Amino acid sequence: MSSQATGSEVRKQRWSRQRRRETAWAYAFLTPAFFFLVVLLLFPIIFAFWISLHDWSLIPRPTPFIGLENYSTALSDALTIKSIKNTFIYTIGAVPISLALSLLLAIVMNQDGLPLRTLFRTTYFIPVITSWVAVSFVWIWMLEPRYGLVNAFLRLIGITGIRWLASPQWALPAIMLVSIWKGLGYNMVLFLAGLQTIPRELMEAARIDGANRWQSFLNITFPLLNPTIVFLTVTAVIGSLQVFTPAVIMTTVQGEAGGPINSTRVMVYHIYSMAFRSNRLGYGAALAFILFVIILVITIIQLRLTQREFEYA
Amino acid sequence: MAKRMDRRYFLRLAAVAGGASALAACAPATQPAAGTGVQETVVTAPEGAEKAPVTLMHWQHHAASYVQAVESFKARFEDENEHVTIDFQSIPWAEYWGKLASGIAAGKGSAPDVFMIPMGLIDEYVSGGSLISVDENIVTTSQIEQDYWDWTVTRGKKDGLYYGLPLNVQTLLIFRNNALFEEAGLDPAEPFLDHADFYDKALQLTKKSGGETDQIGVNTNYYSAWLTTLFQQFLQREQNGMEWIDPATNQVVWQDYPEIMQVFEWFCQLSAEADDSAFMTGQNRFTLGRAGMEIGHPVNRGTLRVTAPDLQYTITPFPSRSAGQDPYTAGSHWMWVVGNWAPDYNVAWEWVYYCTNKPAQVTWVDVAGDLPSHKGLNDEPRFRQNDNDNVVMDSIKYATPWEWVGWAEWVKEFGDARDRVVIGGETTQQSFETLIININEVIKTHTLAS
Repeated sequence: MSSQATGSEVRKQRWSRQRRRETAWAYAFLTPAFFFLVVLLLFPIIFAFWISLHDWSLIPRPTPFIGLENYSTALSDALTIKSIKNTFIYTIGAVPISLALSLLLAIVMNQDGLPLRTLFRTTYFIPVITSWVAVSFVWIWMLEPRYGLVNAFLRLIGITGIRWLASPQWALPAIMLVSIWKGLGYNMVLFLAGLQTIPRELMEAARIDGANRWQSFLNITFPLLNPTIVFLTVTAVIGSLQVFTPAVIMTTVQGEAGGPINSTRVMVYHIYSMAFRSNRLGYGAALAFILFVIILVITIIQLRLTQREFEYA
Repeated sequence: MAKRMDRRYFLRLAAVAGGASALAACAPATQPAAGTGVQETVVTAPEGAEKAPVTLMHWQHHAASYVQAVESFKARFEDENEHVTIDFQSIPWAEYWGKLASGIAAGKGSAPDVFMIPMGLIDEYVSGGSLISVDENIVTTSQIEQDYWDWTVTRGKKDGLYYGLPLNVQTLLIFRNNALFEEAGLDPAEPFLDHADFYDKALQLTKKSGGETDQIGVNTNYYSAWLTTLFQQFLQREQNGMEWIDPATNQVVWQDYPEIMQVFEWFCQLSAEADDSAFMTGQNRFTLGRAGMEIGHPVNRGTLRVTAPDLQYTITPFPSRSAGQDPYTAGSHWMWVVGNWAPDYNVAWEWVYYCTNKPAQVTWVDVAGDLPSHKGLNDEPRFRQNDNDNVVMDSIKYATPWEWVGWAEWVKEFGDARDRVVIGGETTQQSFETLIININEVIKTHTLAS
């Protein structure tokens, strides 16, 4: 017994020595990544929060500690409220339409025997890999009210007078339109991947049971696509809350974006403008943390609402 | 391959260094007086001594023409001053401010020793104690005042000292499309009588049919330039050169003068009737021959040469408010400044002056399209080869500087003020009052440190 126990202790000691060595190696491998994470991510985040508690100008001068004043100023500032509102309108307008359209496209592209399927898939994906800057400039010309292609087409069907980027009512929808168009291909590809994981047997069984296409979609396809829908919804909402490039490039007049009359001033541009154009770095940092909290809360709510267990049974 | 130092050379160098150290120990400090940014005394190496190597970090925002000019100065300056190396970096516009701020925050070694900032921000940098005043051994205050047009240096002056020398000097003038003028039966060379005459001509050049615009009379989308010129024009020409910020309250005086509100209203009407924000959005309508006129900087001549080589245009002074008044234009510029962390102020200012003095300005005019801020160059025949050149060069003589305190926010506030009226349907009175409130807040934000 005692020799067995001794052997077991020896094994345990050996095991724990080996375990310790492995653990040490694990930490050794983790250290470089952890170092970069701390230096390039964690420290800047903490420092940005520190800056947000000060009247910190981009121009060197004293930076007095002002506590949460930047936060309270932001939450009572009409321009900040307007930019948050614009960002929400953009997100609520662009994300559902984009996801619905790309799901529809994915279902069509998923049909066996669809002629030129590869060509269509490639065509829809091209905007995804095209630079936002190039896309924005092309759409500025397409949306030009007098000579632009969009209004020329609308005139053919009797719709006139939309001033797009020059109108406070239409400028934000114009940017949404471009974002939807650009993001369609990416969402479509992920939906296609999701569709192709759904077992054919389930669809065939449903058909044998007398389900029509709509019933199959509603009761089989849609629930089984839930992981893809959750992923795309969460990432699309986060991306939309951080929209910047099209809103800036499509609305800049003489160096200032977000017009007309702040109708396209979105949150990230507002942060950039405050920090780097108005030199109010402390205020800009506070705005960035407000956006961070908004995104965090919305993401948690989304995950709670949309994630549900499912099994192929 | 590494060079080896021989013993004789080493002893000579050591002797010189020792002598220089002894002299330096007896000399007053060269650091700025605390909090003033004023350079008190300059130590120069004893005659015959080898100068210690100096590397100056020079940053400016990128423009191809600027790079060309600075590179040519750098090559010559380094040739003439073998101990000096200019570490020149041309930084893309989008990154310039972020990089400048983080560089300055990181301090000596990371901060540029010489850099460029717009004139509206100089005061804030000086108040923050970041800049060192112009070295009197390089160029004296009286020399600056004698050589440079006052408006090109005055915004760099604080408490009797100059903190920067100008570059990117520009005025604002009206560019006319000759063909469109002639088509409308107007003479492109005839000067404007006053604002009303300008307005009439703008309307005659506007073509709208069936609710659609085919041609605009005047491109007004440089809103900040228009309103700055109009507001300053009234105060400068009709209120004896009054500045638009009252030093006692640190707020604009616009509300005290109904005429300023009137010119704002005049501009909004002009922009609504002779322009159309929805016409060719995002495109340069003057360059494309679809705008009869636009306000622009003389540097635009270079742009037009490249983008619209066939466009025939005439440059005229900005119209006066009433007939017979002296012409007026608002002048803008950037400044080259020296950070008080520079390793050698003397050399840093020598370099700045080298790039902004009279001979250098000839290069700036030729290569970058700048206007000369040196008085002695105004009558140079090479800069006055045609009528447009004459209008441009004359405008330097009667300009006064933009009086913005801060910078980018003014572009937004002026643009928003116009948009609220022309697009949003707000009354000019309401919009003007909001403009004043917002601008006063901007001024306050930028003068906290003063």
